[in-house]
Amino acid sequence: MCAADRSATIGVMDLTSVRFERSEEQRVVVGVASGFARRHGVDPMVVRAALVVLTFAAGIGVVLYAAGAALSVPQGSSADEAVVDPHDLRRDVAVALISAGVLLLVRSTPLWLSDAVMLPVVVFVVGVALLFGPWIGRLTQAANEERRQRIRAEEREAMAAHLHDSVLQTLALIQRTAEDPRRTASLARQQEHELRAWLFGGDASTAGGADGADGAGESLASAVRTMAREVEQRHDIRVDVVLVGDAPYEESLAALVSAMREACVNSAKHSGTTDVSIYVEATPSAVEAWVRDRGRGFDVTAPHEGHGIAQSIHARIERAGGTAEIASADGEGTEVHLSVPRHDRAASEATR
Amino acid sequence: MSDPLLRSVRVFLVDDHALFRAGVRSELGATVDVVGEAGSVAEAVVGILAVRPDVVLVDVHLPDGGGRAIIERVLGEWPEAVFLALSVSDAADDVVAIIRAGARGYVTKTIDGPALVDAIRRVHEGDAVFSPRLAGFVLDAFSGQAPAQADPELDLLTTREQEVMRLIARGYTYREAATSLHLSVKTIETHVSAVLRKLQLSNRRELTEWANTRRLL
Repeated sequence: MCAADRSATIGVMDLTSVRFERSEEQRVVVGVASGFARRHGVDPMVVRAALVVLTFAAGIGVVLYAAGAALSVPQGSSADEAVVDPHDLRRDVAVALISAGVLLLVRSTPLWLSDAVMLPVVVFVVGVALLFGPWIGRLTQAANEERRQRIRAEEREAMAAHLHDSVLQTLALIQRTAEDPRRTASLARQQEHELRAWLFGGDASTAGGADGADGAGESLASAVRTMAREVEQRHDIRVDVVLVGDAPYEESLAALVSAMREACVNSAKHSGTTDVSIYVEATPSAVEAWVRDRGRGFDVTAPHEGHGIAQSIHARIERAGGTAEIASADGEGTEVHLSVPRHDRAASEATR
Repeated sequence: MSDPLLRSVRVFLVDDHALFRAGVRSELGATVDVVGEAGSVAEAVVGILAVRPDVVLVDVHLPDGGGRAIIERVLGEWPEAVFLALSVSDAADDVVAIIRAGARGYVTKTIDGPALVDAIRRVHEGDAVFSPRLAGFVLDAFSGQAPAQADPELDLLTTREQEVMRLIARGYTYREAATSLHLSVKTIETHVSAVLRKLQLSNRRELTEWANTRRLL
């Protein structure tokens, strides 16, 4: 009995004459011999005998059997499966050629023990690869997919946990402080900062963006933001921060940030408003900052007791080699302008 | 206090949070005419083209392409449409991207009623609305090395424009900036509009990068 002729033509070559179905009923191993025999109308035992004889001739029989297993299809497959995808074929041929090339190369090095030993080994390996290759491929695919699913589930859990810990708590708190609008606004704002930092990985208010969410890290930008958030929390005010450029955070800048904090706290305590804006600009030679409120202001010319605004801020800044100016008038708000020169390496390189 | 001039400003609201739309509607209702609402990109495009409002308040983050998609589609058919972006986000990417898509201003949702009305009025009169943060982005974007083939018209800020942006970044209103620089408010508005145009058309690296970053939220 012959298997039905398949008249499929494939892009690269016509495989109908080579393809055959493996036999389930008559198989000894996987049915290559019996399938082949059935296809060409010969007795399976003849085919098997031939294969055994050829095995003694440098293992050709095993090679042929393996090739047969690779090229044949399971019993009962549809005509479509018999068609070889030209891309797969090209890729397989490429792999084969590359491997053959490498082997030939190795053959000329001392690593090659001897033809008698290595050739059968190579053939064996190739056979095993052909047989088990697709199965291993499927296994790794399944493993990857599982890993992906697991990662996705972990991320979902982490997000849920974070939202629970932060946003839900804050919303609950807000309901309790609803009678105190200032406190409520402050809570909401803090939660907003925190969620923003978590979502976007650090405030993206500068082109460089992306410094750590908290902690006075190594940059001026993160130090300013941390300071602003602390002041907001402690004094229930809004501090809007706008940053242009950035600089490594070193000593003179620490003095600047400290003076800025002083200015913010003064606004919180004396201006009568709850909004402060900070603008910090880092140029290659200096860092300038403006801290502004639109509150009741004060008369800069009159002496102050108990405030000590000017003294404290001026002192801090001047110790760092910088300058401070305070502009204010009754009813016109207050603006503190601070400036310190930069001493870091990046700055000196830029201004050379 | 309702300004009779403002009565005539017809505003269309686009935001996928119905609660937020209701809040804005009630806050603006007395001074501005809310002529339509939409909660999705498709509804918004249809609604805006049908109603032809004076100003569209559009959120950046909506499913199916966001405010940007709405702006691009509407401007394709009706180039005179005026958009004011209103969003929770103040990230450079979102702000710059939607300005470059054609919005004439950007305000965050923490803005209070009177300031929002002022912003609406301002874009309706043809000016741009720059928040301190947006001014900061502008200064950042235009501060680096100018590109090799810099178009002076578009890729550089004039000294005056830089001064104005710096004041706005410091939290000055247009009036305060005018006083500080001894100019008229109209001149300030002109400079700000010029900067808006540069922001929209310049090919500076930061701007194209920011405009092209996709946020997955």
